[in-house]
Amino acid sequence: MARRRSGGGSGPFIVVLLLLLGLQFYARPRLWDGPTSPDFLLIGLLLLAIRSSPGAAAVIGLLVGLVTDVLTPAHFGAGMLAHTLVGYLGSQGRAVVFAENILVTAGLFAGGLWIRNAIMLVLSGTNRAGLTQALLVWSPLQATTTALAGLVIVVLFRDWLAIRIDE
Amino acid sequence: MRAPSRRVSRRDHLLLIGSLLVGVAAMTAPSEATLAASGAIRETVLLPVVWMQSRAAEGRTSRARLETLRGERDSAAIALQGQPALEAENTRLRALLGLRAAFPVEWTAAEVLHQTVPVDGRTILLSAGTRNGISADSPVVSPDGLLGVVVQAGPISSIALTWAHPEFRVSAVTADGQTQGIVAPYPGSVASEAFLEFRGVAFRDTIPTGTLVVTSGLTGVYPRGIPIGRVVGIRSEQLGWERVYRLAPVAIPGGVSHVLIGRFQADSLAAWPSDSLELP
Repeated sequence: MARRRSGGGSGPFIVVLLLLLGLQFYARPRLWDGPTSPDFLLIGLLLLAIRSSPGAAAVIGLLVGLVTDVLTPAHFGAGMLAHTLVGYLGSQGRAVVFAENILVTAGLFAGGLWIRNAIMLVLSGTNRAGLTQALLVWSPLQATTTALAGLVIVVLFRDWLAIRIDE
Repeated sequence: MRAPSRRVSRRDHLLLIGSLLVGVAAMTAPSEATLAASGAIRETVLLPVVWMQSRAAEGRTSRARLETLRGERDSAAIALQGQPALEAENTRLRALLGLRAAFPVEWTAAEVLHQTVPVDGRTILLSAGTRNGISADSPVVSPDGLLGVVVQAGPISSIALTWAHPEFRVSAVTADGQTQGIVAPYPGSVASEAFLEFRGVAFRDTIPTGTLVVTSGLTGVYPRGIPIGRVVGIRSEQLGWERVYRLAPVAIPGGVSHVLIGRFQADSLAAWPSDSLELP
């Protein structure tokens, strides 16, 4: 049975986003700084996307992509395009698969990260061997850790995020 | 979860198309412009997050890292024991040959601030900038060898292009000084797929597998003698006049946490004119 959670105003939601920023830029570099570490910025983007209209989610994705491109300008613009599409698809995907199920939520985080990585690698001109290795080894591992981290955030802050979870 | 209206309106389509166009424009913009723009944003709007990540990287400690550092320090101490005698001998020989002293390079330590995107490693964010004396074209090395070069420096952080980036090139020579060439990344490789190419080697020169390739010191960006990689085989032979060798790099950008950024002293730069065609 699905339980509807009360709360979930913009104030608590902003607190969760600030927490995700702290996790991304302070806790992650201090505790687990590797290619499989969870991407808390992407979790924040998807949490925003599923609350927003597809157009707004695309613009939010563009801004998140700008942040990643500024900090890693290897192929400037690739992150903007990738995050724009992930934000738009996240908003749309949540509408199509709207079951408030914990596995669906985990799949959203994992799928979003894998698609983001795939788009960025393709736009960066990665060759087939490198692409295969990145998409079959590193991206699934990072998608798993991101999905787990996202689930912990959703479960811990479901009241603040106004998330309804099937139980 | 609060479910907004899911009908995709014309406004949504326009916002998506506008965002995609901005992204495409950013991808096609000249790299000088995008580097300048990213530096400006990094040192203003994103200054708090860069500062926060720098503090986190400084405070990162673990038993394994401490033991690694202790091992590196012990190895360096042993290697340095013979240096005074070597320096004296070098000075004597230079005097005998009438050579001037080698240009000194000053080194600044910095943390590598890794990001969570898959292209991290082609460029890396460093926790030192112009306030530490860092400028563009400063070489970046790890304890293992050459990593890359600074391409954009802000007050407290800088961006370095590593050997994994498709645009990276460095003039190189085998450790015995016999064979020169240019080292470049294998086209399209990612940082975790570690290999480089040693190009421009004359067909008559054969380099044995395992040979160490180091920076040649030409052009004045990289000091001579920094290890780049070891030969692991021949990649291709071009029309009987050139061999391209595969190199296994000695330093992996994705796994490095600390680097040293070099800078030549101002008076030594005159030794390398930036472009001979510009000279009167």
